[in-house]
Amino acid sequence: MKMSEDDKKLNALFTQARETGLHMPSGLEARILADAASAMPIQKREAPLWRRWFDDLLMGWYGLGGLAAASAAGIWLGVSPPSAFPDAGAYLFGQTGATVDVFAGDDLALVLAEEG
Amino acid sequence: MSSGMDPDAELLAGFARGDMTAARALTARLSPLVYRLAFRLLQDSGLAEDVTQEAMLRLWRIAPEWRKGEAKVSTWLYGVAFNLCRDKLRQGRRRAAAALEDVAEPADPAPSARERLHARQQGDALQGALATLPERQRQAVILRHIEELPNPEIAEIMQITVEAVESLTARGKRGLIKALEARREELGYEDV
Repeated sequence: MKMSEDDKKLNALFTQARETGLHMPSGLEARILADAASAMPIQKREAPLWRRWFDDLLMGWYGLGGLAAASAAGIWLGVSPPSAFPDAGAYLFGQTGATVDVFAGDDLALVLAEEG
Repeated sequence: MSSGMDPDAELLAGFARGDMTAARALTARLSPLVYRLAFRLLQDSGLAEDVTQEAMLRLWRIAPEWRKGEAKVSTWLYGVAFNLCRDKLRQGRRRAAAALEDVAEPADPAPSARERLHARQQGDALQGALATLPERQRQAVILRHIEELPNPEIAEIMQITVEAVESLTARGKRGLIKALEARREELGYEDV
């Protein structure tokens, strides 16, 4: 399509406008970069492998605290079980501490009678 | 618009990861474009500066949520700057109207920002002619013929159809020719 004289003149003015240097005022770039620094997203550094395992498997320090408390409670119950609780050993081996006969097979009364 | 290879999107992702070098590169690439557009739309260096800083700040803030491939960073930024400029022009018109209401004597119809702009730019043929155009035509002409953006990008920035862009730029050019013709002798237009 043939360009009219008016279009040519107009295009010359557009070109002139484009070529007229429009420079940013001094200090604007520095202000933009200051804004960038303050708006910079806070980055979480990549955690090391042991820490990721610790966090994922043990659920971090909360998990570890719970595990320690449960372990301590277990040891305490083992050392000093409450009387109301069944004796786990007896339950497993079919005996209780009160009925263990260290002289199984011997009759103490008989022995005393023989000696007497 | 696809932007699989948009280098600005890569830089923006770098900034979101905490890379300040990427922010410097983006500032060097994009802020002069925004300033130039804002200055041409507003014809006011101070306002153009405000718009540029605000548009860039919005870019920094959106960086962590930026999704590559949805839009070109520069188009998005042009759109933000364009809307900020439109707000500034509206505020200017409201202030001008309010100032005129305070004047006791009856005035001629309130001179628009465009007309005041025209008066300021008498020495500049193109700016003077642009100032006579309706706002949308002037914006479309600046984006198309001075910033040299493609019509689909202008449509995205102005939130209108490509056909509407074509119509605005065509009418804008006709209006410019008419305005320049009217000022031919005053401006020495025949020497262009």
